[in-house]
Amino acid sequence: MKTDAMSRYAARRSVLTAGSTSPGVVLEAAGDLLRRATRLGTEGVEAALRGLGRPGVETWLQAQKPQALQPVLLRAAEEAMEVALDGGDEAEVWRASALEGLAARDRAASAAFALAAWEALHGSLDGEAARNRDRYLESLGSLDSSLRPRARWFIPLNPQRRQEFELLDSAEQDKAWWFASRAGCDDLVATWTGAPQSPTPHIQGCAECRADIADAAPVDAPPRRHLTQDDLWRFDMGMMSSDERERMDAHTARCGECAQAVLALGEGDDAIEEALEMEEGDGTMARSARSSREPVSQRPSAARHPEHREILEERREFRVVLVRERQRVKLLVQPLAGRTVTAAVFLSPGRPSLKPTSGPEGLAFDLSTASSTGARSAHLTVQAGGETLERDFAF
Amino acid sequence: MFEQLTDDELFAEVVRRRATGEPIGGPLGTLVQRWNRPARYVISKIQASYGRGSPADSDELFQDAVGKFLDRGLDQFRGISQQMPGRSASPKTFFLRIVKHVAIDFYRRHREELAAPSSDPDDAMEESPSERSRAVEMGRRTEERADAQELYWAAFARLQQEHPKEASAWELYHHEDVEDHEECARRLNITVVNSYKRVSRAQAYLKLYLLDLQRESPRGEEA
Repeated sequence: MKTDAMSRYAARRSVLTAGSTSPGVVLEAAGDLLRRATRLGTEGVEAALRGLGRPGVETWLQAQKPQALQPVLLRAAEEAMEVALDGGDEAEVWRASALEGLAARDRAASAAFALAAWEALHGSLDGEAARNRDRYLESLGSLDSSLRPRARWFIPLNPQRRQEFELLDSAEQDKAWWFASRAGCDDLVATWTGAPQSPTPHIQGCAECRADIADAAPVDAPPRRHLTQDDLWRFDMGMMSSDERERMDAHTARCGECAQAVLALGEGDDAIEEALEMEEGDGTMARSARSSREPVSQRPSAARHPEHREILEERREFRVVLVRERQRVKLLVQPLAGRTVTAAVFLSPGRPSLKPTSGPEGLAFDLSTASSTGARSAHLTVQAGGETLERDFAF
Repeated sequence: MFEQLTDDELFAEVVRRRATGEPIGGPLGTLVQRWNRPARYVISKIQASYGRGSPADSDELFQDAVGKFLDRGLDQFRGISQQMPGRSASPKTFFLRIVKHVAIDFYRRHREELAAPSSDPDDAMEESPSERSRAVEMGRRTEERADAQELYWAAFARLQQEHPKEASAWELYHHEDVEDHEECARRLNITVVNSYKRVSRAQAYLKLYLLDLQRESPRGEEA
């Protein structure tokens, strides 16, 4: 690969002697060789630069738009990531394309380098041309300032970047961040997709890698998506879809902060109802009470979290129903066809069954306390007539 | 003159004046004055639910609820009344609902700050230097955590924009606490292997987006 890179740059020499080449191409090829003079030599460079006329160089400078390199490099960054993430046959395609992006930035550096050499031979540019040159160099500087901090994106290309780095003359190596920056940080890639592991010797000794790992840590323990103010409002108004409700229930089952908010909604409803009742008995507020009181069925409690019933099992003799209302969960074992049922719910093996209460709907097991302490499943035994049910269930 | 009107009549007057651009201060003031006492009762119950709060909070929350009722509540009330009769009942009940939500939101947002030692001004005057520095440090850490969370969500927003499939898998797996690739695969209608891949890719992109954002943020630049 190194030989390939050397051959590629050596071949650039042919551009210098080609007759009808544009000034920009000659400058890039000349700069490529000048910046790698130690390894490649500078044969033919001076002659080529002397052959470039001032009008051609000035026209070329006027047309330069280094900011166009920004999307090229950003795309190269994404492609470099795909080299690390794809891992399949396409990885080499991504790699070649990403390296072409880096090469584009490098050619701009070569052109700038050769332009300085050209000025040394022909005399400095002046007037509008000098201003164009300064703008060109400033734009390259701005581009580098904004993209250099993102050099980590190119780490998956490190084997090729190191080869390129080594071909450059030492004075050029540090300037070429697209090849040099983070060129030794290969170990960092494994931390992007894996769980945190013990640091490798490189990471232990590399302040940049350690900082990256520390700063990216929130992704390893992502924050929860808490219920928003709007979520709570829509929930309270009964405007959530069943999917949203399901997700919300799953979240509040694990998130104390949001569960507290949902609990507070219920307490707030009770408070509204109490406030309205208090006003009803208060003569000084009679007028407003008269106009504000609504039928009991329309009071706030009517908008509470509707009871959600899920039939877990239905047999000829009995039915098992999981009932959820806000943070309350209970399991109902309902006898059918006048049967008598016995049932037991075990939260863990060897522990006694939860104590049921008997009501008009059958046997009820309150799972709210168990749920609030983190229990998520239980074992159920039901006997009715000749039927026996043994099953686990989640709540 | 507004004292003689019922709540519903006053509310209708507010809505009418608002639609025609007339001043609404008179009827609205009378209305919310009538609702002041039940609103404060509701606030006190939410304060009790969160185990914190002060009369000063109560004033602020009441004013905030009036503002919200005015900003969005009037239209929302009309919409909800039409779409879901019974949900909002009367304007008063609807207002009390807004009060409830404003209070809950307030105590959720100020959870950490309010967990700090006494909010009594007299006590605050007597804070020792070490208590003050602890409070400052706590405030700084809270701010940093908030910044970090904000950057994380910004990174996730970028992931949603640039790699929506990976973002959906990440959302399900981590934000919605599914944490099971078989379940993720089922819900996304993809293979389990793809679920692993998407979550893994999301993790890598999120890390790099987050690092980019941190280096671009003012705090990152300071560092």
